[in-house]
Amino acid sequence: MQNYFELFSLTPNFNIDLKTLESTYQQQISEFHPDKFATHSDKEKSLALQNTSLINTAYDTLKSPLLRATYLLELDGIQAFDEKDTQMDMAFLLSQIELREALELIESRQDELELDEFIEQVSSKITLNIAQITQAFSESDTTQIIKNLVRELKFYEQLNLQAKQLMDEWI
Amino acid sequence: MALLQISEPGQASAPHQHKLSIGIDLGTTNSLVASVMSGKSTILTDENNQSILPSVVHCGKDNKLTVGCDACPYAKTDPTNTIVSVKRFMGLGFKEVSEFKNCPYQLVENGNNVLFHTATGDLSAVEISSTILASLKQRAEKSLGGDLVGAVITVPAYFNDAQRQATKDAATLAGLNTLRLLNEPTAAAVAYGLESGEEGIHAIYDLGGGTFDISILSFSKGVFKVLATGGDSTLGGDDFDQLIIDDCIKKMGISELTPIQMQKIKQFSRAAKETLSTQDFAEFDCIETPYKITRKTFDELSSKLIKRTLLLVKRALRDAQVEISDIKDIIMVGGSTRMPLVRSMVGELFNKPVLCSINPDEVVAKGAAIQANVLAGNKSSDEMLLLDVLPLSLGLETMGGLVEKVVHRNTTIPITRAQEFTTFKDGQTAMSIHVLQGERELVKDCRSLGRFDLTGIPPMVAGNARIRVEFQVDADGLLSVSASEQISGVKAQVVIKPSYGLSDAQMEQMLKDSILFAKSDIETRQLHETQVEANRTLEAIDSALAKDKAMISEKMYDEIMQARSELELVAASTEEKIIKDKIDNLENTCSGFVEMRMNASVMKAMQGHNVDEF
Repeated sequence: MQNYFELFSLTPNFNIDLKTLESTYQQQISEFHPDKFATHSDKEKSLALQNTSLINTAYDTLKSPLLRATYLLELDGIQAFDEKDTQMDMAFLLSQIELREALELIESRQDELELDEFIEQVSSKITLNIAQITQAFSESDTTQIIKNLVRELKFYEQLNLQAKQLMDEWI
Repeated sequence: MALLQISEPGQASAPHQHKLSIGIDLGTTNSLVASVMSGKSTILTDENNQSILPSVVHCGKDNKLTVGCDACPYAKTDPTNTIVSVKRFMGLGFKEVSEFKNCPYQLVENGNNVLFHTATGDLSAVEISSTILASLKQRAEKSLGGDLVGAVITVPAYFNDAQRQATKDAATLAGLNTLRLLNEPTAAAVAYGLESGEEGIHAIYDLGGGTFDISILSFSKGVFKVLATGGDSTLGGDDFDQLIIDDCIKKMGISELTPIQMQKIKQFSRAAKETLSTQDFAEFDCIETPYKITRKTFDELSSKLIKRTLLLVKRALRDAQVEISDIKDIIMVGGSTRMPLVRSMVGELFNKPVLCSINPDEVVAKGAAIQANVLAGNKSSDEMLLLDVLPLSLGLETMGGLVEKVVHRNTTIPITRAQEFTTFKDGQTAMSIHVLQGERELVKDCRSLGRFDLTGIPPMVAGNARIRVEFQVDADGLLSVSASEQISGVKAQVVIKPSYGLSDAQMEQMLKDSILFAKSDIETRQLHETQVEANRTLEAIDSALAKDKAMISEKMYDEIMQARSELELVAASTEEKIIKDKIDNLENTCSGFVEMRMNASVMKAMQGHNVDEF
């Protein structure tokens, strides 16, 4: 069975060469995009559409550190976001609650500059978390450690998304 | 690992023949058509050497429809029957349209559609747009001297599914084969990109008559990739005209205006705005009283609107994850970018002079023509590819009137995404699926694209059924949705036709009853299209066989050749039904071969993974 990594001639690994991903993606998509079949039969167009959708999904998955890590765990048969197992580190949860409260406060104050700083702050947490995940994968830490880091990343990303949406609404 | 082995795209083994194709900029104020001639993208003009076709349609008595310049004078004398800026009405429902200010038309609510009540009859925005497209098509066929393979039609990047579908419907009604709906900014970048050969990240600032678009895109090794897009589909040059209109009405202390007076003030205001691009003041007679506006006043009034566009620019940059300093060029598109304040404020934001060397009115049509030429299959080796993104997030209604996003804004298309849901009550046998588009969290703040029901779910305990809803967005940005219950395999599939759009049946009926085209015209056209399709099918199979004959058994080859010669025999016949049947027959016979060529590896990978697990 072919996985997303093989689709782009990459070895399954968290630490991938994004340049290779980018150039293989461009090459693959150039070959199979429906535009290349604009005057072909409906059957070919529909296959091209399916292929391109898959290539795009695979690319989006590998490009995003969160999705890439989740996918790697999944290849090992581990669900990072299993609904039955939601246990998280207490200290981390508390820090999340604090961040959320901070965002709510900014929202009530309608302060654009503060929100901008908040986004910066969350972004740097994301960068740090990604570095930790990279290290955890390269040192083959236990899956539990990796799983927790991936969950933390998801928390941060959701917070980041929420903050950005708030900014959008103010715009 | 190679994905699929298929023939070189767009090529046929038949001797190389230049296929005629066009690019159309279907604008709010003006429309244009261009085509690649002797390797150069050229704007096609009418018999009076005019390149611009004003997007104005006069719907007179006795089905007399006038399009373009000839229709313009009617805007003053007969405003209720003269539709200008019809693009603003595309894909909108009655409620949205009734919020338009100073609209001189008599609008009729017809189910989900809005109709213009005119002397010709009640017409939809799609029908009115189709007359503009038909006029451009006619112009192109005349100046190119032959039949068109198809057209690339541009739409604002910010157009939602309903607006895109309406545009495609208008093309179908006008007898145009849509090769692709292309985002206007992407088209502009194509026109600039190929001429300057600039690689890097570019921003395209497009302020047209009725819409504002901002796109951030990268160009590298022949691939244009839209990184992010944003904008406002209700902000454009008309709003700047409105500033002058409001100022004039306020200063003159006018309370009541007849539609004719309103239309006059509108035209004067637009002319004044244009004057202010080069002069320090402009003046006109407003109902026999002179009115004067200075550049300074106009700049003060307009800076708020321009600032709004700049905020949208910043948001797009953030979505694209690029800094202002990463932007290599800022390409200015649309007539409204002629306003000096627009150029200077945009230049200030980027700290760089803006690019406006190609006529901002023509750049979109020129780019569309380049892409049409590629899609028609005239270019082979050094092809370019345009990767667009989804402009607005797509989602489903969940409990409590909330929207669960399934595909996020700025995802590269085409894309397939799925989400799983479950039942809410014990023994629930049906589920209503409500598809929405927009960024907000509440259903009421998003655009409803359609609803459908999945029925026949076997009764189960609440929470046990697994309903998988799959969204597929094609390269035009158009959506189809399917739903299935995973355990029982019950399926429902719909191509989402926006609530405000036309159903296939309505389209068919409209083509049949069209007051815009004579019945015989349509029949001739359909026959002709089928004949063309027959030849295209023959060509495609010949080229496939020439390359990959070795893949199939002798038996299969014989069957294909049999179906092929049956089609060849009737390809020029005048019986549309017979040709169609033989095309279908050949395509069915070939389907195994086609799939074989589209190597199974990708299909396998697709079946092996669930793309929805993220």
